[in-house]
Amino acid sequence: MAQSLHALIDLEESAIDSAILAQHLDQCPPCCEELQVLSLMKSLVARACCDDKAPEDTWTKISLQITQIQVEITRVSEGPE
Amino acid sequence: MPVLERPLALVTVKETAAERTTRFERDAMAHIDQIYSGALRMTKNPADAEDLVQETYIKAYRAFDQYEDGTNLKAWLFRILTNTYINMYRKNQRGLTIDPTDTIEDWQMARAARHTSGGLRSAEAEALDLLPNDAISQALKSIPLEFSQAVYLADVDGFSYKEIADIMDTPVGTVMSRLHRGRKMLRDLLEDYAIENGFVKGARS
Repeated sequence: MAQSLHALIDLEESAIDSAILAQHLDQCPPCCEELQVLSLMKSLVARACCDDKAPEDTWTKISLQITQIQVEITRVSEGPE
Repeated sequence: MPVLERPLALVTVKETAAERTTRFERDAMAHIDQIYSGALRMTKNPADAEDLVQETYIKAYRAFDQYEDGTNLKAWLFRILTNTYINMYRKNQRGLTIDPTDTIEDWQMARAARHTSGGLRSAEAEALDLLPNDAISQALKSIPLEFSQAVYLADVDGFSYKEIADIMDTPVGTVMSRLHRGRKMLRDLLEDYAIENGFVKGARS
């Protein structure tokens, strides 16, 4: 049951027997509460952890390296004549 | 898309190298903040995270002809990120597990040393919702990486179980188990925090 609740909040339909789960939730207030808490925790994590930004020059450095790789490849492809 | 086995120089491709580079820069760069975030939670410091991001993108660029256009690029990049991290920092260990400084037992003992929480159920959702973001991110950082990683990938990056399984190189069943345990650990930590900091009405401290 527990794993089904997790699968439900993660929208993993293939991991759930929907009919059985729906029927159970209808009759089981503790599981409904549990589902509510799990769902809330999921959104808390999403909201608490989305702030990191890569330093501004990270992409510039990467782009430079890519250019160098491209130059190298072009040189190889043109090769000794 | 077939894997290129011959040197680029000898292969005629529909897209020119320049076009592929442009496509890579346009599409892959869009995910850089999330890749950086992923790198930061593995390396736990910004300087190493930045190095890891650069390594990851260069590897991804070199392997870009192996990426199937239209599939989940972010998941593909995360897989490269995770593998690069393991190669750089965890060579002698299996995957993300067995960090000698960071065991389940240590965590359990640390938690047991504090008071236990009881009977929070009805007030729990209310209390959790009031917690500051910092408390949540700190709690996640204190959980062993093999468990917190599953939680991050599911809840922050929005990957499916199958994608997480591919990124972490484990079966889907293991992903579900780690996710379950990671969430349980997080919840226990947040409950403790909520009680200790007066977020729960009527609970003893």
